Amino acid sequence: MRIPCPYCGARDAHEFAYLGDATVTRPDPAAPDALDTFSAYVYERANPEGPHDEFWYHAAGCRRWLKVTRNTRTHEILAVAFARAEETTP
Amino acid sequence: MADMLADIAPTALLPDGHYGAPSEGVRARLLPGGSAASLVARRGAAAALAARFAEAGLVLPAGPKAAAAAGVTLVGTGPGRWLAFADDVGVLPGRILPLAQGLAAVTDQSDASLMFEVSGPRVRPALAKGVMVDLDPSAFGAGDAATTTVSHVNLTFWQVADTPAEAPAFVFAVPRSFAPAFLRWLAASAAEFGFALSGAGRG
Amino acid sequence: MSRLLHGGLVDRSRTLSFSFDGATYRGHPGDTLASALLANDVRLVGRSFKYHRPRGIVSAGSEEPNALVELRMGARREPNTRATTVELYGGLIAASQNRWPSLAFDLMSANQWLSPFLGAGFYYKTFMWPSALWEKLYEPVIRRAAGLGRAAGRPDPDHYEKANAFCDVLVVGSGAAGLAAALAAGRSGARVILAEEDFRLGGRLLSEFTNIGDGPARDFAAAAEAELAGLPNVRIMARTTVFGAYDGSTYGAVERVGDHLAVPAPFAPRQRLWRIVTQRCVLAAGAFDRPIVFPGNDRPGVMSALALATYATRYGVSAGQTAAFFVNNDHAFAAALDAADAGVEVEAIVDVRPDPALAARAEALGVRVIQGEVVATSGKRLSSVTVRTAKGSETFKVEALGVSGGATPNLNLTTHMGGRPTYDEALCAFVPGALPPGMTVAGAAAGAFPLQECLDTGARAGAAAASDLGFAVPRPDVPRAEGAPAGISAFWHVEAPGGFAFVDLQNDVTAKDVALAHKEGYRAVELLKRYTTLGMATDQGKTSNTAGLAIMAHLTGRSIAETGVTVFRPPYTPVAMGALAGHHRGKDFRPTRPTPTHRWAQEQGAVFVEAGFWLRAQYFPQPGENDWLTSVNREVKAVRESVGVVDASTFGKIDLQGPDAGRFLDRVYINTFSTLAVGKARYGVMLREDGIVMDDGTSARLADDHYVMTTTTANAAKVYQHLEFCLQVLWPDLDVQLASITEHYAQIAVSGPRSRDVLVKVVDGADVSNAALPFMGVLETTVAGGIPARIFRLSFSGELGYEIAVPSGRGEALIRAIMEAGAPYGITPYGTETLGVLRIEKGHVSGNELNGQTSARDLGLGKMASTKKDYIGRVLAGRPAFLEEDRPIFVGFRPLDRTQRLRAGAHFLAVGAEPTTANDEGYMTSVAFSPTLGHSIGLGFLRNGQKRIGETVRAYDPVRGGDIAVEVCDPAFVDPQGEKQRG
Repeated sequence: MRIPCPYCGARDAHEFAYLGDATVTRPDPAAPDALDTFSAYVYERANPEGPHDEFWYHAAGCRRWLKVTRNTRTHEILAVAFARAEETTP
Repeated sequence: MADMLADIAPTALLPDGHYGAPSEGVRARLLPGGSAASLVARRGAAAALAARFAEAGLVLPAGPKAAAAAGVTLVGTGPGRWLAFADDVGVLPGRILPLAQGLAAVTDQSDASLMFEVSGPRVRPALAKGVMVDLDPSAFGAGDAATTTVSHVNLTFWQVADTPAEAPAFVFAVPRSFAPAFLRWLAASAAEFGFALSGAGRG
Repeated sequence: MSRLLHGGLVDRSRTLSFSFDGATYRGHPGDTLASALLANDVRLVGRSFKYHRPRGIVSAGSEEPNALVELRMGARREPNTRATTVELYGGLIAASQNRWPSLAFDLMSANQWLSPFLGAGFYYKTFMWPSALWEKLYEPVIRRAAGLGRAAGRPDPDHYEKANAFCDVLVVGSGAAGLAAALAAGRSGARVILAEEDFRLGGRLLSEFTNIGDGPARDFAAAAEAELAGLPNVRIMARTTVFGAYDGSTYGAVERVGDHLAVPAPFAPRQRLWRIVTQRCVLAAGAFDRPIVFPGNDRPGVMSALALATYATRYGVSAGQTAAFFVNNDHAFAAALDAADAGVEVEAIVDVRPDPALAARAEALGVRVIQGEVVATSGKRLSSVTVRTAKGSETFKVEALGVSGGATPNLNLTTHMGGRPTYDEALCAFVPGALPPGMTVAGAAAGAFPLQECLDTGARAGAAAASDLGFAVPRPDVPRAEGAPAGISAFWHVEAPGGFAFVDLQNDVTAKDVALAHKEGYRAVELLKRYTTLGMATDQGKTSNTAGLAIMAHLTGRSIAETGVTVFRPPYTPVAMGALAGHHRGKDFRPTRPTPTHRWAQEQGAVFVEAGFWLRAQYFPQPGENDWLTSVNREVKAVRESVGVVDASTFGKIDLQGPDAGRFLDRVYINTFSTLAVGKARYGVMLREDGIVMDDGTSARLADDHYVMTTTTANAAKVYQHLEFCLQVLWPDLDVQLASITEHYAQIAVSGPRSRDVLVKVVDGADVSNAALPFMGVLETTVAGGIPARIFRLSFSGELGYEIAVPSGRGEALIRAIMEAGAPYGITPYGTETLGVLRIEKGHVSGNELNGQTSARDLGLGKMASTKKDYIGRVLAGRPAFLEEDRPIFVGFRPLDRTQRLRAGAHFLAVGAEPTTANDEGYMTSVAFSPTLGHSIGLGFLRNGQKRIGETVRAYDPVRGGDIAVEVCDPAFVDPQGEKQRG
């Protein structure tokens, strides 16, 4: 698989580390139901078929965290962006 | 062929000399130690930093490029991140640090990497045995840089700015502890073309 | 000799000598081992996998199921090499395999008389019971009887390498379609790679007597090759098999750089594994000639019709003094005529069809055409065939029989990404279904069998690929090929009484086995494959699959399309492990990272140990010390009583700057760092978000907005990645900049009561008194005559200690300076073993305890956690299960009988309790012999451990026969109040 890093260009997937679901957001730790929301945040994952937003880290390249939209059926990469929005320009 | 390196300890740099075929298809030279630093722009300050550098006659490349001016080579390694190299050890603390003041974190990296200049008529086919970036002149030219992994070694390299497509020279900034492994890979890869190593002394 | 008087693309002016099974033969450059064997009348080349039946050469390419030989001798011996793809070289040595005691007389061939028992599913049915016999009887017997060649059993003396290539258009195959595609794309300026597994470009063009344009097809191939070779944007890779299609338009290929030589050229690899990244791929891999299944179809001399013709036309070899053909299609019929043209004595062409289109041409050449079916063969080497016709049966003498059941497109690569071939009734063949992104298929691989279609589809595919990518493609100039009929009549299996009718020659799967699978219900194609082994092993059923499926379809009364087909996985042909490893073997299996003081440690006689990629000093044996424990005891004593020195450079080191650095550390550590004074360091623990400890280490504050963090050696990269995640994803508003400084700094630890005395002599005049540099203090200064240094007053050993960080290029100078300064105190170098003993004596946690299952509370570090802030892992560290009183908690252990040795991995049981899982109370993580205390000590996790100090439990270790009574104690065996490190 090759991932088009927005900074480095297309690179082989083995330069990247995979984290997983990029649709989850760290919950409010001060909320009264934090234990439940954190359990869901850490453990509960959908296993979608088709396009999926995922975090990938370009470990051997620019060391940026990327949000990669990958088709889980075909491994087609549909979109890639820096996880930190301000880094849209290098 | 594997025998060529079998009796050389993997813990030290390969000694200077000629490896492999009698021709000199690939040359590598360990560059004398200068100084190096990483530059990381403060949050949202990349543009201001680049502007301040430009005023001082220095180019902070926007992207994976290497720009050399006034004795400093600045190499883009990530958004808002650069490596700065200077032969003169006074340049970085004397020039770059004040320029970056307030706009970037500057961290001394002078001993982090060993720098190898790699060139020769067969340099591209030799590098293709580990570099997973397209080095064809149509894809990677003078001043282009890449941070990548080569034979399990994470490193940054670039094509030296004033070297032409038909006789390119590349500089590899190799993490010091990985330099012996990098050289072993390079020697093995360049051996069929003939490989001359200099600057590493007795290894 | 079966070499024809003239013809072929071999260089008859030169002779190459080679040997097979000890006999010496001669061939010519341009031969394969197979063509040279046939030229020397060697027809019997191996024994079959299961029944050990004599077998001959069947094909002329990489689809070969039979002619597997051991190539070369000694350490270079390579089993299961296809004689049909081995390029002949002078001095080649090959041997038949899977025969005992000899190829001509194989005792195991008795297996064929056992065939009623050895049919499909034999192993599954027979070896189920009793299971005790599996290892003792069945497996050894099967291993001897079955199987293929022998591995060399010695290190491979050759070298292999990997390489990367990039292009716009990859063309796989250099037959008519591939050449046309490469020309069309290459002329546009696109970067083209043309990969051909053969040593000569041209594919079938080399074997067919037909014309393209004004001249012979092989002249077209030569002209196309010459033009391509002259285009700077085209790279021709012969002897290169593209074996796999992968995600991202990436293809795997293996280039046989030196396989056609007795020994690879000096400094050249034997094989090179290519990773080819392309934008478009044109698959032009041609087609296989598939067999017809009939009784006796495995006799040496029975081969593919196209192969028989190829041996005649390309190699100038007649596979027998006389030959016949058995076909159902015009292409193979034409090949038979080519063979006759080349000089083969063709007795007859048996065609299942009435009035084949080329019958008149055959008769003009004096070749008989018989409408009928071959129903039997005879001879150890083929000597006669029996044909059944409408009028009865006829037997005639013949030494070779070329069989063709039609063409099977070589669509292997189209299925690697999940594409399923579809059945084309008109072509009687499976053709490519869904394709990998960026791939098109041209020529015979796409089912476009006629030569003109090969040229047309190839040119179109090459042009389309280039123009898709924005290249200006000149008007394609496709030459005209001579027309030829392309009729076929579906025909798979001759139903006739008599001997074995093989479907899969490599796995000895017969038509009866397919029938048995059907009878027993294994009718789905995937089940058929696994039950009968049809289509497995080195050839992966390239020629056998379709007939097997057709027979199953016939038995079930379904169409072939309904029956379906199994798909292929990479690799297309076997790939040597050496090629996959490339440079990474022996010393180069993985990088070795020496520490900054490695050379010095070598001089000191250190024994080294791998820690990840790092090579660290493990201990420093002195003359007269015969075991590691003696050395380690001495080193520990030296640190406790005087002073020792160790290289701690492998710890991860991260520079953190920015106005929010302190706040950031508060969020990633369980304890607080924003309140840390400048010039001070603090021990910190960081959790994963699930509440488990991720790592520990110290962070020091160098300025208001500047910290430096250390991580454990093992987690250096992981922690850096985690911190970047926190900054880039969780809290993008924080203004913090990270830089790894692990490589820039050497860090040397000096520990022991005399360490300050040493430090005083190493610093360039700085005040390092207890007042100026107290415990957990940090000092930036210079050492050893001007080396810039950071001195951290830290202690992992529990003794007074300092860690001195200098630029890594000066690490060796520093340690030499320290050794000189410490000489009066007998300063002692130590390694990782002593480091471990010291920390176990002190009760510090390390990797064994930070094992991915333990919380800060489990580790006895719970009280470090701040309650005034949020941090990663806080919420889930507070989940009820982590707070249970009965959770295993970190404590120390000592044997009641102090002479006994503790073992890590032992589990704790109450005295008198049954050793059951239910009674398990925890486990021992770290043990050491403490030279300070004079006995074995241990650390581990015990249920509610901290409340059970003083109790006796058992350390139960059934694996090593241990069951030792131990006393639960405080983990800090040495200086529990921490007075020494503060002094």
